[in-house]
Amino acid sequence: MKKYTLPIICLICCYSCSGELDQYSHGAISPEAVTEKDIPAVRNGMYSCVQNAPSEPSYIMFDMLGGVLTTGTGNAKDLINSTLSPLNSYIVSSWNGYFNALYQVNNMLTISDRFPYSETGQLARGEAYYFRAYIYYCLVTRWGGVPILRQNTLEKVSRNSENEVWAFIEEDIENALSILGSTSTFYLVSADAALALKARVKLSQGKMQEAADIAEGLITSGGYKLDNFEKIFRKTMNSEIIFAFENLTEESSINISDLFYTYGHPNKGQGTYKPTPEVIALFVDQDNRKSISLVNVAGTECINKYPSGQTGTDPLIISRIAEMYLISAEAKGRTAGVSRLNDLRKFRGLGEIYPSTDDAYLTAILEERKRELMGENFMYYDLVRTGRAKVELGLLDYQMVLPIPGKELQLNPNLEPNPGY
Amino acid sequence: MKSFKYYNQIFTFFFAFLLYTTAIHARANPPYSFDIENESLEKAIEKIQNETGHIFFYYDGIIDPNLKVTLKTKNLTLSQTLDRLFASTNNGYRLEGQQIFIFRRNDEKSNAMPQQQIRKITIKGTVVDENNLSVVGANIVEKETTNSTTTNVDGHFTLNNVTPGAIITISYIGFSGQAIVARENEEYHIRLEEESKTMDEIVIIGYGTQRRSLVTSAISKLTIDESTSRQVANPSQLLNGRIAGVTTFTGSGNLGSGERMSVRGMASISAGNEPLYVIDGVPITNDSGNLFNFGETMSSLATLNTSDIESIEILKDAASAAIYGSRATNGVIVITTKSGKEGRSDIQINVSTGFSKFPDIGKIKLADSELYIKDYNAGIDNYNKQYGLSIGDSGYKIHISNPFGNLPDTDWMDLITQTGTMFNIDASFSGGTKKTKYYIGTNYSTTEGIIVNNKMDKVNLKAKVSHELTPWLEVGTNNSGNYTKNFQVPGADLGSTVIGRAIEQRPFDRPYKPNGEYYIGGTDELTRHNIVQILNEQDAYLENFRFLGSYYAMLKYKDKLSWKYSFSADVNYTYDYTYYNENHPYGMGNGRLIDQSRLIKNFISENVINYNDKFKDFSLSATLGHSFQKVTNRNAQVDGRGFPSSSFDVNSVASEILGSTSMGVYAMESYFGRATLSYLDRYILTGTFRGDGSSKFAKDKRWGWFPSLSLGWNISNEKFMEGRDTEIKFRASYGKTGNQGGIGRYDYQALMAGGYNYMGNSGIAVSSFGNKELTWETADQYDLGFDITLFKGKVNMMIDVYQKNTKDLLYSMPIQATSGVTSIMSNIGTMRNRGLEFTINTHFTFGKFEWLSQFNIATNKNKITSLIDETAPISIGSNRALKVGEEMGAYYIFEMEGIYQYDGEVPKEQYDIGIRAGDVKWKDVDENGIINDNDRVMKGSANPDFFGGWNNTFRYKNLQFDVFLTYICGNDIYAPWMSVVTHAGYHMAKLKEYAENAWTGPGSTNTYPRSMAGDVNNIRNSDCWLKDGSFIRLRTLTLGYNFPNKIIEPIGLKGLRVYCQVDNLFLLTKYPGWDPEISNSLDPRFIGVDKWTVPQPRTFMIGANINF
Repeated sequence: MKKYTLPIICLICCYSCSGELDQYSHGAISPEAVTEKDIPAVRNGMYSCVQNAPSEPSYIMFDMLGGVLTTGTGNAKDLINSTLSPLNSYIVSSWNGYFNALYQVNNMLTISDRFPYSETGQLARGEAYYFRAYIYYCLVTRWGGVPILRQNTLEKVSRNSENEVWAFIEEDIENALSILGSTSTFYLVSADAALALKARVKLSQGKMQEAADIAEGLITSGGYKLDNFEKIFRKTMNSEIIFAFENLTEESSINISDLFYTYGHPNKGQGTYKPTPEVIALFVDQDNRKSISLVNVAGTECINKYPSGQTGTDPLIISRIAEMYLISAEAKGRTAGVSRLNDLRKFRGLGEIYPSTDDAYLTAILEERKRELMGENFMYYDLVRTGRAKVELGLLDYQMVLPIPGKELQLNPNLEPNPGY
Repeated sequence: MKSFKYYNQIFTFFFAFLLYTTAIHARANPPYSFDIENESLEKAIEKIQNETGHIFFYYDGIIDPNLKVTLKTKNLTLSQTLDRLFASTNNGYRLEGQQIFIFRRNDEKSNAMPQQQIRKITIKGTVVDENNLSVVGANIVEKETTNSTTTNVDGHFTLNNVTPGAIITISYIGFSGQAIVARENEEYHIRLEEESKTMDEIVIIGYGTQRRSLVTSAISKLTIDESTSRQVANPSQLLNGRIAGVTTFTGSGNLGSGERMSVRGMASISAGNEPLYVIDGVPITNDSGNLFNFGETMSSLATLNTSDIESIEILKDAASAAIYGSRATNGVIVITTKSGKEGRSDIQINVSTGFSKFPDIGKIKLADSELYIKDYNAGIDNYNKQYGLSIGDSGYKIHISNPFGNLPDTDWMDLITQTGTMFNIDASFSGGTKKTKYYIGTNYSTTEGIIVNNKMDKVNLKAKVSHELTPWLEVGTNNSGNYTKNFQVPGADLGSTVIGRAIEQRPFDRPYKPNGEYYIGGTDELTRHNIVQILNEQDAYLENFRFLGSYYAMLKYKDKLSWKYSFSADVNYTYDYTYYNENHPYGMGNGRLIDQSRLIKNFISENVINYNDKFKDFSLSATLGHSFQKVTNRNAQVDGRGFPSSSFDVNSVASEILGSTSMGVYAMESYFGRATLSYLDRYILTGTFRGDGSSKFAKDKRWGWFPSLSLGWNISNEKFMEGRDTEIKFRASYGKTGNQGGIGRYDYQALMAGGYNYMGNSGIAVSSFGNKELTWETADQYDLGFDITLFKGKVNMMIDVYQKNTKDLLYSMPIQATSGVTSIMSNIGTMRNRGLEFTINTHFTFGKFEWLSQFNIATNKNKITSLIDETAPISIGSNRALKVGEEMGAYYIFEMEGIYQYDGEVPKEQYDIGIRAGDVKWKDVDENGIINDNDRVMKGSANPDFFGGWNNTFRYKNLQFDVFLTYICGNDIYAPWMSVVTHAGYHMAKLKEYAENAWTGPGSTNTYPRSMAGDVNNIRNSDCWLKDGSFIRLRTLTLGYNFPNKIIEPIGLKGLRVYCQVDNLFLLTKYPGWDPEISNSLDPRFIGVDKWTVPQPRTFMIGANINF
């Protein structure tokens, strides 16, 4: 009997154990297993990734580099110098994050291809085009020409030219517009969101007439009108916002408020970044944006647009109608545009102005953008695209774009570095 | 080599003892002729007693005095004779050794003979050694009883209440044991021979044991005794410096901090570099002991009771470890706990108490307020001057002054440190007979750390029983329940890191406002978090419950074949509680409670068949087995925010609750075997194999096969070596081991993971690309070794040289982010570890003075030999890279060339971004004027050149003095803390050295940069912060005294030892920080980084070991 013991044991055990070696995740499925039923979930996943993947600093990168923010040293230049390095972890996390978000967006497009008759699939497709345009807008304004990826790839890709990227963005926006319609909430992507992005893209390329037309179209559409900061930045229904990420606390890893409030504020925050004295000085008392834009916490001025501190997270506004006023004002030029600028200023409690030169007009526009859009990720690129960054921020010639992360360059020799870094 | 010896001694003794008892039986059982006719039964008994030497015991009156018996036998054994004799009576008998008990048939057999009825005798004698010197403290034990004594100063002993004819054993550490038969009125003169053979030590090998002389692989053994025990939470720390080729340290000096153990270097990048831990045959899990990241990894081994440990074996090479196959690349740590010993009954109580202090707290010298302000303002002046700013200009910086006038500076370190007290008591009850052995142990300890609030309580219970029901069936169980509660303080990787948030404050900063409120950190009033507030307003503890249990049944056939089935469970429940109340900076306004728990179930079912046989001069032992292991983890987290007040501390009252749970399963099935064939103990051949199937790999990549082969040659058993007092063994081995630790449970699978929700709707997204090709990482290991014993064991040495080639390294390979991810788990590259280990143990006696010494030294050289096709460094973390031809653990940093003395020396590209004379000149590798990623160089390494330890034991009569030194040489420590406190203009403390010597003009210094407000150039990750971490540490100093028997015997004790011990009394090192033997990260790629890590405490302790 004994000599049979081992084979018997082995048999028993093989029988009982062999299946146990196939273990599958309890919190995930295989991508091949995605069915039409899963499309809404994939779509939510896309929103979640585009919102979260680029990481916190990418939502204030243009404020960090735009002379709006400073760290403990009290000087914007110090923050700019320490950030603009190929080794900087925020540069790295932004780059990695945008491409991760792009991956999920392209994946959404691939999956919607597989289920052409799914209604949600088609809607998600429109949203995916919008997101891809949005992501590439973020990429091109930071790094210049970047690789255009229509599908996901593991290849070591080379960079496309800046113009090719702009053209690609416009193509995607058109694709998005052909699908998208209106939405029940500004936390979802609508056709108007795509239009707002389109206006910004046109302005960035200096296509002023088109930019002005689109912006005006949105202003006069009746769907949006200027609203109070108390509503816009305090999670209240408002008529301003065209598109924002809802950024719910339990779904988010983006807490901008934490970076702005200090631990002296009741809601607490790390207080990593503070507004520069120059920015604080822009706000006069009658400006009704002031109390929501800035708050004095135990002697330190903090940006007040994101109110949650460490108690939660706040929506991340991508487009709102005030930006359209400013785009329209800028794109139409001094004589035709100044009334839009004054519309906005009056609504915000300021008086009308009539700059006498185009240069002074642009200065006024940029100042107004600083006041209106402070902490909303605009300033650096505004100064770069208007050619004022070098003088106003004291940047060097090569600092008009961000460095491509050193690690990425090492891993992909086909990628040209941005010169100077 | 006291520890080796001790063991050796015990086992030799048992061996001898077995032989002895067998001999007695042989003598008792020769065929025997008996002849009696019509005599009384009593007479017959007397006759047998006289003729055989056996002694009969019985109650008066149970033998019928009128009964006459007649019996004639020829060549029957004694039992057969007795069977016949009692067949016609009302009596039965029981034969035990030299004693025969008679009882009435209808009596309960086992209770037939109340002991008090037996006539007891007293035996006396003297024990001497080979030189006729009396042996003090030798153990005299009556076999199978608890009756024992020890010899006095003159070597005399008197043992009362001895059953006549009982076997008395005499033993003493370092000598061969002896046994005698108790007879009345005999004065025993016993001469013990010094034990010289080390080859008869029994060594625990995978799934079995083996005599040392048959071991053909590199196994080191540490016996835990008076010389080697230390007050540590974590069993791995007992090995610190003890074993050649083994390095071990904890992440910090905080209680229960996670351990890093490396056996023969690091053989893997990320597939796990921790050895496999096997406790009493059960491979345990070793997930980190904490769930919430409180700034450092905690140890899950710290839950175990170190006082239960009898010995730790380290299976270092493939030949020894390959039987554990897949998890053996990094060696196997086999922990054996104490068991009951046959013939003993012991109560052992150990008590100790003491205190610990922060060592050399004043070592790091910072600028005081005056110097700080002077230096800071110099930086402001430099800034204003450089940018041409004057008062009123935008960006003009103004001088600072001490906001508190002449108030004294705050000693922040004093506010966070304490003298931690400790108390430890453990008691064990153990004993056994030939058939049954038991051990019951308990332990309670409470220890305070050197940081305020750090405290750990520990309770352990253990019961171990084995019983031989029949000659062919043995069953047993071994259970332990372990519990720790660890009140944590924030570790060095947390924003509220204890030392960092104390020492980095400006010298004049204060914790409390005049009105008693806290100054809030992160504001202009206080730069860093207020550590006093942090420690006061948080409540963080970690509870770990661990059950280790194993149950077995063993079927035996003679001594040749056995089949053991065992079922083992290692169940670990962790509860991690972190409460930040509303006043805590992390309290999220109204308080935050993170409540996490985890259950790890690790079940193992195992069948092992052992076969031993002898054929003429050959002996064979073979093992064959199957095991199945399944590990299930379940985690739950509830994160509540918003509490009515700080006295509410459960999540049910939180205004906002975020929760999540997760689960993961991992299973492994294995077949294994081993065969050892030896010829006259002279030539030994051992082969092992193991096949492992892991659920972490795709079906067709799942199985890994891990064979090994080793040869041993006991040269001293050759004829030409006969009669010499030297033993030499040569060993050679090759084997293959595997690795799959460290990687995710589902890494081979592409996954769409849940949890990517938006607007409250559930979402999924691709979280991993998977890699179907993923398979075992394997290592080919070669080992050559010599075991040499000289001068009858006075000197013995162990020399090993090895090479470990790892291939198919499992690594989360970084890939370009444009792919959508930044890394993919892959099998890439190869790595080599090569090294030499040497251990020498000596034992010399000079009259009554004894000196034992154990010295070990080892070196290991790690080299990455290939990484796909990368020749450029793969940058990992912020200061390391992996590069072919370099070590893993090598730094990848900027190199300081000096200080620019004149503005004209500064390249234009750097001048443009504000670099001037007085700033650091970095090596510009590509000579383009720009300092960027391409200018980093591979420099230095966290790996030591050589390391080891040296223990010296001095004994004089009953006094024992142990001095244990450990050392590491040639390791570089990266000290980012220095970059914080040398940095000008960031409102943080500054090192006195840097503030005093800052560059002020050409020629002033080439080391210390100028003070410059807002500097971003001078604190790069560079060799400025790379420091030599070599050290010699006085690990322990122990003075113990064993009370002589004549004092303790009258009060009923078998042994009493009192001792005092100092741990970490001094540290000789050039490292400017507190402790070079700690590391923020336990990941081998990133070890050797000190970010204000709490150093190992200096501990003073007194204690007593009491044995009843």
